[in-house]
Amino acid sequence: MGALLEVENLYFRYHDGTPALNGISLSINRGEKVAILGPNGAGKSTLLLHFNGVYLAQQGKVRVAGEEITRDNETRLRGKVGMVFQDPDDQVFSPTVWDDVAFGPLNQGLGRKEIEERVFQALQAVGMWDLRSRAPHHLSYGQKKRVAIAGVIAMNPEVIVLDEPTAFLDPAGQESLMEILAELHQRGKTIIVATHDVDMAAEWADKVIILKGGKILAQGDTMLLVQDTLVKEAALRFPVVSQVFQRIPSLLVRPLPRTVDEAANAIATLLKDREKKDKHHIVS
Amino acid sequence: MEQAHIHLDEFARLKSFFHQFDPRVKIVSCLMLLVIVVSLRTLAGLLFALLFTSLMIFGSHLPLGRIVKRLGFVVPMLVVLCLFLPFARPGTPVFKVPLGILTLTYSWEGLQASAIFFLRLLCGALIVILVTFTTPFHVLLHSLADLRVPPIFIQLIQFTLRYFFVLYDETIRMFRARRARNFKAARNFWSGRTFSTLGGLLGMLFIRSYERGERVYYAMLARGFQGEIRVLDQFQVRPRDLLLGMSLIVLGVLSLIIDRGGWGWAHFLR
Ligand SMILES: Nc1ncnc2c1ncn2[C@@H]1O[C@H](COP(=O)(O)OP(=O)(O)OP(=O)(O)O)[C@@H](O)[C@H]1O
Ligand SMILES: [Mg+2]
Repeated sequence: MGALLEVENLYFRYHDGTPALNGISLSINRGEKVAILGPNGAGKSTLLLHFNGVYLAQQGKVRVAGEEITRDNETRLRGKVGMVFQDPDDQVFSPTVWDDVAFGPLNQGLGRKEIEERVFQALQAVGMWDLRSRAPHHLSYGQKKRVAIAGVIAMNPEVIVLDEPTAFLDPAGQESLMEILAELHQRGKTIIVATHDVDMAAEWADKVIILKGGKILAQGDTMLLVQDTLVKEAALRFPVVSQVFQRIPSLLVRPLPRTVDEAANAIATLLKDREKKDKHHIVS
Repeated sequence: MEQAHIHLDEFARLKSFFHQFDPRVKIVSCLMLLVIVVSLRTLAGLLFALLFTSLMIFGSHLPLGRIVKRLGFVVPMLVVLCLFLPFARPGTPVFKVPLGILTLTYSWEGLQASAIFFLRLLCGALIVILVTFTTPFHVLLHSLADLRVPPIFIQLIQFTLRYFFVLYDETIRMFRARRARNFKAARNFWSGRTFSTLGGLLGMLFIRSYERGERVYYAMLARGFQGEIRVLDQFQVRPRDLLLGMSLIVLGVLSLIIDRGGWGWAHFLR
């Protein structure tokens, strides 16, 4: 089976001449959880906007499920790739929460029953059903963000792309966002996230893509996040968990743990080894 | 945010016969009522109209204090205007103000005309308040769309309302950021530094809203927008709505009859 989303040698230049993407190639498989990282201005947002054809490739190709995005099929392919923008105020524009979530399905030309069902499901999934008749401009930031996500879920896309989803959310909000993402992944969605949150990427992603200056610096699994030179070059930092192990070289755990679970396991093993050694000591 | 946002429709979720009135019939009948009321010419007709609009407001459980407050935007100016209007009308003098060569006459007819003008506007304002206070704003927009108001107007209102608050917050933040760096508006608006700072602020606001508009458009595209905002219509006109609408219009016609020749017309019918 081919990749769900393929980008081939993509170039993009803004109308003021800024070269934002300089030859990007990548492929993302069905059901993957992908984190795109990189310094400010690396071109993350610009790349994401190509995934559902808001920007069309100036050079190179973007393919969704084997089909190249062009002017003719962009509206249909937008039903396959849903995009959650960074600032929910840019996305949530309707007079009520319900109307906003219904906006996408209405554009897809669905029937009334189907639309009502989808809006219900989507608002339930993000826990906003009770606020369905509120006006978005009187909601809190986190609530608007949830509405924005619901608006995309309601279109039932195969891929969901989120630009800096955790930015400006309080810790509980970030937690519940991660739950929503986990739930979506469970339902078989492919999820792509652009983020500056290294810890989140380390905990959550299957695949990491690191961007800089409109080029791909590296792509692979979360091991990339603890590669010294790469991390420096991409203006990132080690995940907090890894930093702890790095500070105590005598722990000698290799590879460096990146998630809380990995760290806990590593420590447990160390303790067990120590116990064994102690016993040995007593016996001899 | 320093101040709470203004809510346009904070009482729209109360319950009363007028709240449950189908919004489309409500709009149409109230519009007709409005036309009738502003065409009334005598005190009797207007007082009758004022009586039943007040009764309707009373019957729809709206907090009177807020209505008075809302009226407070228009009434003071109107009162001043009405107090000076009688000078502009010739007629039986109530009193005269001698001003050297010319004498200003405060005329009895002018005073009457003023009162009628005032009552017309008051009734009109009350009817508009009645509609806007008892209908959630988005329902009002939906029903306007149903009544074949061109979508471009409705979208314009909708986006203005939606982004008014975003821009409002943005402006407040920009002002605060300036104040945090010790900017103080001089007492004179035209003083060079104040003027250029405020000018810059305004320009920034324009650019920001332009860019915001672009991003909003992209976000709409991303959700399959193709140039037309579609809506599900969700209202149903019940017989009682038509009945209520009809009775509003009948009340209007009644005030018109009182207005034009009183009960003389009824005589003709017999
Ligand atoms: N509308 C625009 N017009 C012109 N240049 C732009 C525009 N948007 C972005 N750029 C430029 O394109 C480059 C890539 O920007 P992009 O927004 O994709 O970066 P990013 O990785 O999302 O950054 P951040 O982490 O700050 O969100 C930057 O150099 C930026 O200045
Ligand atoms: Mg960005």
